[in-house]
Amino acid sequence: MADREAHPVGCGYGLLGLCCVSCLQGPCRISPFDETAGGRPCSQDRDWIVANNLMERVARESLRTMANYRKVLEGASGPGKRIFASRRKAMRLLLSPFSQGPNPLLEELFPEEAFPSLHALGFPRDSWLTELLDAAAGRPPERRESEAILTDAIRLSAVALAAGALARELTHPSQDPAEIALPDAPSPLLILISDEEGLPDEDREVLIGRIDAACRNQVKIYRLPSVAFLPAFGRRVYEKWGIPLSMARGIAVIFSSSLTPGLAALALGFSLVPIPGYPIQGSPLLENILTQKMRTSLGHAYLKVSPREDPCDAILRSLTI
Amino acid sequence: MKMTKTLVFRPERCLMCLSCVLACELKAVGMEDPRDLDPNSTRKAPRRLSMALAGGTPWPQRCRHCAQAPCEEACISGSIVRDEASSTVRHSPETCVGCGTCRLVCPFNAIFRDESGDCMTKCNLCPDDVVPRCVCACQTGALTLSSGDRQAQEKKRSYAREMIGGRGNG
Repeated sequence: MADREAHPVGCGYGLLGLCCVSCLQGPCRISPFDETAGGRPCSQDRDWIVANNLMERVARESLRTMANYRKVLEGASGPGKRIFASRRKAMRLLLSPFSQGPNPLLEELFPEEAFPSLHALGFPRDSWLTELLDAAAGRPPERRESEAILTDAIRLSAVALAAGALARELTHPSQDPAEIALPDAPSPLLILISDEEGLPDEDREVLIGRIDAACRNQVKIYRLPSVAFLPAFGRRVYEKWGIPLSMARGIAVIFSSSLTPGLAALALGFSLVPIPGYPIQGSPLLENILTQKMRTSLGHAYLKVSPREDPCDAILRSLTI
Repeated sequence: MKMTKTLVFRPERCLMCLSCVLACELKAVGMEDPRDLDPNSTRKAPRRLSMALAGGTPWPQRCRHCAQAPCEEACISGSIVRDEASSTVRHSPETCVGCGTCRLVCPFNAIFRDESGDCMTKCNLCPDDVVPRCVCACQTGALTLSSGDRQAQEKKRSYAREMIGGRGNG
């Protein structure tokens, strides 16, 4: 195992997303200083490698979420369980490998007026599995643009988030996300979420405390136990203020070693500060899409935090944009 | 007092991960963490270390800091000088005119052209660092630092021991 004390930075190629293991003729690495494409078995460039790495990671992480969702749904479907048959059927459709038309649950969780960003990115069609199969069908590499792969990854993350929210609804029916108290007038929001499945991390708690102390005079801060609350949070914002999240200037700071929670938050309309950051810097194209183009077209974006920068400064800076 | 530094390479430990190459490039542009790079920058890093495969065996293309350096003899501007105290052959980009003669005479193909500075560039064994960046980046111990010949002798002893199956009184 790598010695983190002796090598604190880690693998540079991995950090930038420039290590590709998508075929058996690799692994291939591109130096961030190389501009030329090609020279590899598939001749793909750095943009495709970074996008493909994101997509594969999202697919793998959402597998776990969907497996948990299926388990929860099976447990809730037994005799004596209080769940309406029609809702159970709609929940099962989220796992269907066949296209069944627009899924009413996704429409219910992500109404267009509350989540215009997700609809602008391409609303998920029906189930997680059909999204995954459609994304996979877009390969081999020469048929897929990097930006399209990135959009697929974001959309798949949103569906996985929907499954997580529904699973929580079944396992924690007493927790009503609609009881989130919002200010009367629209104001910037800061949502802090740590990965509840991860191990306790003292450094993370210290950083959360620092962010809270630095930002509490500038924004209304919410500490959520899971990203599964985000869809309800977004709907609550729309119900209270009549504007979608992307216009409410919500920032989600997500402490997780997974990609899907943060990408899903981005899809919903939150600006995103992931800790640790995502391996996207190897592709100037994709980084520009997430940090600049999204802000221009949708009003929110991925907020890049340099390794030596304090996340508090990045968050405070984003509030002045 | 300057300490003699020698890079020791163990090909059997090398994974060709190229972390050493990236670390050297980052050092050349004054960075340690690749996430500090500006993705929109067109700045090129001078290549002072390359990895190649020679008959399936990893082979680092880097300066060997020869005791009798042909590049030092060939340099017309006096930019390449051997420092006996540290046993390194140092190149000064400030005085280099970029003629490329050193590159022609180097038997290890270890001298490269720096596109940004229009001069030559080679490994100087990171004189400002206690441990060269490539050694810091190597996570398998394929690249290590030795003072003098001690580690080279240990390496020979280790190979000899392996060849005789661990027997003997060495």
